[in-house]
Amino acid sequence: MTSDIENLLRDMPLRKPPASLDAKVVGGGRRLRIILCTAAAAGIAAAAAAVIIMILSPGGPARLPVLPPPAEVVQAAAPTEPVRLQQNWSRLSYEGVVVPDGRTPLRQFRHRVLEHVQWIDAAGGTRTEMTLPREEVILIKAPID
Amino acid sequence: MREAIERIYWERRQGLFTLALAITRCPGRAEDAVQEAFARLWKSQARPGGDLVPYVFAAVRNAAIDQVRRQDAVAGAQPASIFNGFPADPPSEIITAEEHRTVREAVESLPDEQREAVVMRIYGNLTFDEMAKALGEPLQTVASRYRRAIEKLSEKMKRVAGPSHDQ
Repeated sequence: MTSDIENLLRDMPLRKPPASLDAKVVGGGRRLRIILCTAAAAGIAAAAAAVIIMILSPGGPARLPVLPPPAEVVQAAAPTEPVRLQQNWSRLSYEGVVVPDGRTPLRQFRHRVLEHVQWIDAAGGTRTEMTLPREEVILIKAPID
Repeated sequence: MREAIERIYWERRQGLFTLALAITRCPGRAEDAVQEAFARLWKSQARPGGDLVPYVFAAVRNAAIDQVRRQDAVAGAQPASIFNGFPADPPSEIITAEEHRTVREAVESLPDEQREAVVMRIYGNLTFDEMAKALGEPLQTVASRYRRAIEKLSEKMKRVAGPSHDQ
C-alpha cells in the first residue's frame, strides 16, 4: 500500500510554475550581463535610429500635450536651464520554445523597451523629444517537458 | 557555481516551485519565493562544497518561510493546493477523479512538516540524505517523518476506498 500511495502521489497533476518564473530566475540574473553587452550597441542604435523632433512652440510649455507622470526623472536642472525628463516602458514576454539549429530547444523571451526623453526649455519656449524603441530577444537553453 | 545552480533550477523547477507552494499555499507567493531564493543565491558569496541540490532547496524553503511570515500580516486568502484542480488530461490509468480528490485532501491535511517531507521526496526527487541536509536535521528524523506521512496517507486512502481498494 505504501508504494501504491507513492505511485498515486507521483501521478497527481501538479500546479505548474508559471513561465514568467524562468525569466525572473534565470533571465533576470542574466539580464544585467545582456544589458551590459548590448549597451554599446544600444548607444550606437540610439545615435543612428533616434528620431529627434524639434518643436518650436511659440506659446511656450503651457501648450505642450499632457503626458503621464514620468517614471524616472533623470535630471532636474535649475529653472533657467532646459529640464530633461525621461520615461521608460518595458515589457518582457515569453514566446515559447524555438529550435534555431534544429537540435537544441531554447526558450525565447522578448524584451521591449521604449525610452522617451524630453528636454524642455521653458525660457526659450522649446521642447526637444526623442523616442527610442529597443527590443532584445533572450534565448535560454532549457530542458523541454 | 552559477552554471551548476542554474542547471539545478532547470532540472528541478517543478519540485522547487511545489515546495514553495506547499509552504506558502499561494501561487504568487511561491513564485516570489523561488525568485527571491535565486536572487539571494546569485548574490551570495558562499561556496558550499559537495551536492548543491540540498543547498538550493534550502534556499527556496527559507525564502518561502519568509514569505509566510510576511503573509501573516495580510492573511485571509483561501489556501491554494500544490495540485491542479483537475485530474491529469488525459486521465492517468491509475488515478480517478475520486482518488485525485482524496489524495489531494489527504496531502493538504498533513501537518506542515510532513507535507514538506512528502513534497521534497516525491516532487523534488530528493534522497533522504539530501532532505536532511536541506532541512538541517538528522537523516533518521527526516526519514521517519516521511514514513509517518506516507502511513497517514495510506490510512486515509484505505478508509475512503474500503476493502476493495486493496485487491
